[in-house]
Amino acid sequence: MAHPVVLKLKRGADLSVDDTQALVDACSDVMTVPGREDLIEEGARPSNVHVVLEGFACRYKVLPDGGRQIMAWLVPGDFCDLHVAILGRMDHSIATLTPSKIARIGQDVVDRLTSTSPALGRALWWATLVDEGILREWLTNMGRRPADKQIAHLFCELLVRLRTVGLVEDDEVFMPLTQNELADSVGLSTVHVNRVVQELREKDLIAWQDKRLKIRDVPRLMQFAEFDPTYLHLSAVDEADRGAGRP
Amino acid sequence: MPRYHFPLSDGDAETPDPVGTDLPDIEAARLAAVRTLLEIARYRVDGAADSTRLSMKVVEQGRVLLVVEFALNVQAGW
Repeated sequence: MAHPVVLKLKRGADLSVDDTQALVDACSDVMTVPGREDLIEEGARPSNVHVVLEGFACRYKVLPDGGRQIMAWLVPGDFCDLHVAILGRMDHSIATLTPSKIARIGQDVVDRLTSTSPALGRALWWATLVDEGILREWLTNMGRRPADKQIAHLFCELLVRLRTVGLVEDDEVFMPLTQNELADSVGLSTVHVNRVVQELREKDLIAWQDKRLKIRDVPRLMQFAEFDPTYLHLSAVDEADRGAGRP
Repeated sequence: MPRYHFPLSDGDAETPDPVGTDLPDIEAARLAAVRTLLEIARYRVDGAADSTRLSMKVVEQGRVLLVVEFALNVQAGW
C-alpha cells in the first residue's frame, strides 16, 4: 500500500490489514492548501489533527523582531499536531511551504483509532517520539555543527524521511524551500546559506534546481554531514521484536 | 532588488561568491554581511591561534561597497 501515512507508521508498530485500512479511512477528509499558508497558529486550540499527504509543511515561531525560526519540516506521512489532544493549545504555528494535500482527522476519530487498536496507538506514539528524536538532532545540529555540515545533515535527513514514504527516485527529492526558508530552518543568514549551497554544489555533493534536490553521492554527503539515521527510529518494529526475544 | 556578492577572505585566500543574494538595499546587505561574518567566525576561529582575521566584502556590479572585518586577538596578561 503506497499511502504515505501507512508507509511511515508501519516502521513504528506491527499494523494489521484492519489497522492500515482504518488509517487510510481516517485520512479521507482531504483539504488542498495553497503554499505558504498557515494550517494552524500558535495559541490556537485545534479540534482536528492534520496529516501531510502531499507537499511540504513546517513548524515555526515568529520572534518579536519579526524573524522566523522553522523548527521542523513536515513531509508526507507526518502528523502535524497529534499532541494537541493532551496539550490543548498550539505552542507553535504550522504552515505549508508548497501547495499541499492535508488530511483532517477529528479528535474523536483519533481517540477511536487508538482505543480500538493498541498497535495504532503505539504507532502514533512512536511518530510523536520520532518527532522528538528529530528535534534532538536539530538541536545538536544548530548547537554544534558548522553551517556546511548542518545543511548537509538536513538534506540527508530529508532524503531518508522521503525514502521511507516512497518519494525518492535516483537520490532526488522535491525540495520546495527558498533559501530564506532554509536559512530560517538552520538559524543562519540567507547569505551564509547561499554560500554553503554553492560550496556543496562545487564539491559535487548536491545539485539543486527548480525545487529538485539531487544528492550526487549519498555516502559521501552522509559522511560529510556526520549523518547517522538511527535517530529516525525507522527500525523500531524490528528493535521491538528483538527486545521481546523474537527473531 | 539589487544583487550583492559577499566574497570572504581569511588573509590567505579569498573565496568568491559568484552567485550572490538579492537584498532590498545596501543597509540590508550590510546587516547580512555582519551577521554572516560572525556566523562564519564562530567555527573558523582557531582557539590556539593568537590572532584571526576574517573579512567580507559587499560587492554590487563589481564595485566594493563595504568591507566588514572581524579580528580576534589573544594576548598574555601581565
